[in-house]
Amino acid sequence: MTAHTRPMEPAERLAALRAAVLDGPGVTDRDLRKAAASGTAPGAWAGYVRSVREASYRVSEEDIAALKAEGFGEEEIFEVTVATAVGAAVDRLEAGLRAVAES
Amino acid sequence: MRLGVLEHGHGRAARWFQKIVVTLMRHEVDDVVKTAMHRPGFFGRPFLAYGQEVLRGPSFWTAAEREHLGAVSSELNECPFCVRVHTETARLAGHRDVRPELAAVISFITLLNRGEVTPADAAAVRAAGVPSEALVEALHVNAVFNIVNRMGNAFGWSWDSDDHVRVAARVIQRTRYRLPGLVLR
Repeated sequence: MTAHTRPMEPAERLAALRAAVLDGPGVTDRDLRKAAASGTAPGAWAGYVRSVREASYRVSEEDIAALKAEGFGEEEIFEVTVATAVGAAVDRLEAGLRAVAES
Repeated sequence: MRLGVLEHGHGRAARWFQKIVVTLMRHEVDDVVKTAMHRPGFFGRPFLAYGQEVLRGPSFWTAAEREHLGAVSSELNECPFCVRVHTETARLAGHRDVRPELAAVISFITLLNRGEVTPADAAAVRAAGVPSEALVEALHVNAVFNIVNRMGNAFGWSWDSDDHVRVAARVIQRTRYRLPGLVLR
């Protein structure tokens, strides 16, 4: 399929999503969002980010309540969660693309 | 949902849209859409642009196959919310049997999501008759669900009833993942 018939490929759209989430305006620092995307957020975020990345089905109401008790606001939790999810998805995609490229 | 801002933090057009949907469909807008309409420039707008292209744009895979693959990814990530609706959208889109090419890709995605995939696995998919570009397209389907499965589980997305699932699936089938532009501004 050529660029002519398909002006914006999935990879470009994913890059645009990643840019919005990691580099766009937000209430959290871009460094925190980038750390979350790579699965290594600092301090009180660490355990939550690991759960969302590795085993999101384990995230509970209590985990969210614990973050709020730490003083984090809902917008911060929203941004860090989305950054973590997008980062995990991009890393998996890249692992798959590497396997394809090396095969 | 576990974050009140996702339930209620919407602009005027999105609030009107939700009222109209409840009146017409007798169900609330689903939690994915509510989440997408919250600060749409941050997530919803670029995410839906990506999802529309991956799930309904030109592809080696039919829409039904991509929906089925989405349900499989959601199963692997243990996101029951997404499994329910994408099993239904696959059915509505006419998904029947899994052809050998799709089965090969499902094996690859299963290994990938366990962190165990190797170049030999990619070669095996190609040997099953799947061109590299088609495998890459499937990897993007998996990526869409690797994003939403995590968000759904973390934010506590849920369905009110089986009927809510069926209605949402019919809307997806009809709109091809498109929302009115105004609600994403």
